[in-house]
Amino acid sequence: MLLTGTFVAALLIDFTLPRLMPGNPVQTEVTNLIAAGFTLSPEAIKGMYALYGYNPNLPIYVQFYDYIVQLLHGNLGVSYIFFPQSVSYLIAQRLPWTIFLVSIAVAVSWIPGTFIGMFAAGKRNAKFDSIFTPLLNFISSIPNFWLGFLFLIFFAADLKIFPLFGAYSNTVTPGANLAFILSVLHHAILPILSLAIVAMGGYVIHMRNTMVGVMGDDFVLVARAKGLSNRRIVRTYAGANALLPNITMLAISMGAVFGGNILVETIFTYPGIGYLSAVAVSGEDYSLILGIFLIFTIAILVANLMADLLYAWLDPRVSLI
Amino acid sequence: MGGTAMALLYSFRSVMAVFWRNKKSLVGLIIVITFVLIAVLAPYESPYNPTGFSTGPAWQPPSLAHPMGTDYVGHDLWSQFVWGARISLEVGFLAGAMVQILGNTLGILSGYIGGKVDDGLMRIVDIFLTLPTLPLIILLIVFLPFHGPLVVTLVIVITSWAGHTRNMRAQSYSYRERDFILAAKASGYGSLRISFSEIFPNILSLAMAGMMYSIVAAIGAEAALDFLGLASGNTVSWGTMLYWAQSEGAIINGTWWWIVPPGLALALIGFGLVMMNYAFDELFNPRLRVL
Repeated sequence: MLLTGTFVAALLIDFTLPRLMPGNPVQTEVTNLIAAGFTLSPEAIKGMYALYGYNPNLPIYVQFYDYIVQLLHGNLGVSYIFFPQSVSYLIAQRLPWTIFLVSIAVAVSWIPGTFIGMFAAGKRNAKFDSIFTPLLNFISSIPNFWLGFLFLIFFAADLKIFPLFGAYSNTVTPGANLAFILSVLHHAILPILSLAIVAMGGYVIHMRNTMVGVMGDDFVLVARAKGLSNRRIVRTYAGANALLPNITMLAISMGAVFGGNILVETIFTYPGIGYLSAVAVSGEDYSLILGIFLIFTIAILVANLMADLLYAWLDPRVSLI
Repeated sequence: MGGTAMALLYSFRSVMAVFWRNKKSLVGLIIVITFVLIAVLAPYESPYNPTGFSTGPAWQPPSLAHPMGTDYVGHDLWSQFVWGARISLEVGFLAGAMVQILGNTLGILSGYIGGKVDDGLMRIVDIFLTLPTLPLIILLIVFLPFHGPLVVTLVIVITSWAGHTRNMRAQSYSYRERDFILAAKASGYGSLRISFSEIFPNILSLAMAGMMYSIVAAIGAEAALDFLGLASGNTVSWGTMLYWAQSEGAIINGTWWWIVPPGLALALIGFGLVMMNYAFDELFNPRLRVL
């Protein structure tokens, strides 16, 4: 229900924004082309409107109907910078790289982060707390793209042990061969670390705070009174219960992870959706920007859905139907 | 109204007491005040013009004349840094304050009134919470015909009011059946008065915590936009410093002095604001108190 609402909201935003612009995107591009020295006949301009699937003279509901029909055909319009490639083609080409980067970054930050947070809550004393908490808060305050900047200047430009840009080197042929896979991993390590280190700080803090709350619950007191070891209480009693809010936190954080990924991919010139959106922004490629926003929304909805499924599987009290 | 003022004064005094007792939040407060001073005193601290024509030598490492070195055309980076602090803090604090006003008003009223209004508003809140924030901010900035720090602030508020509203609503909802609220209702107080003079003082510390997080998020979003080259005109900010550093080859040239200060400042101001939160957290949730 919520997911449908969000999707409709994203569609409405994508449909409305270009129509609110003074002039319109196609007009802007026609003007740009004329300024660049092209002569456009009225037929050519009409053709441009048809190409971008945009006709301001039709009534608004007809425009919306056309827009939905085009979307159902997987047509998100034509890119302006990468003309004549279509937006959906460009996104399909770049999306696997982003999914690769983000899913590994989330896995290597959430799983250890949750466990560190779980055990940190078991060791609560003032001394540990006065070093551990500020340190984690500082880590999660670092802008991840800036961390990428530091990695590049130190490990890539200075020590030359990691590449400066791209997803694989031009000396390897893409395909299922070892050289390519190694090159991809070599290029992915720094971007993944930039995303994961910062995200992990947040997951640890959240898990620790949830654990501290759960450790104060009555059933933990009963477990203690029974004489169970602290280790067992932390792992099987409190840990299992604190895990559930941390899964919700994971779903909520996906938006921030995808957002931060735009900046990290830009720093590393990584050929995913994030870098593509930075390119689209600097080139004022309106169709591409709109298409990417829709894809980001869908990606977050899918992540939310997966978190819901995971939650229902882990907690028998929750039913999806 | 005298009661409200007393309650607020009491809250303020207990907040200050916790700040002094909690060393983490005291450190946070000192960091934030330092940056505020740097930003406020910018005209007196920057001997050079941060943008425009420059006369200095380019690519200089930190020295006595240029404490943070110079950029690719010879702008003094320290001057850019202090003026950049202004943009970050202005956008951050203004957006934080606006999210506060919006979130407190909508959240507390919605939670107290309940019913259809509450259901409808919470549905909208959920949608805003699920939409990808940074891509939406980028989209709005690209398509809106207006530019400048104020527009950036408003766009950040539009995209980030929902989280705080939901937190405030949840708290307000939990208070609606309490005895003192029912008593206030029975003595004829209206919804507005109950929301602001009865419920609000009780959740003031949570409101403050929400404010810290809104400011951190706003500062981060503003830096991200500037880093992506969406800054308007001659703006100098920590984000534009990093934008120019990347596009003019600071990585290849190894000019760390161009990259470290703006990013470290972003990390520190975020850290300071979040650490201040420990005081508010402690007030609101005694369970988190370290014994």
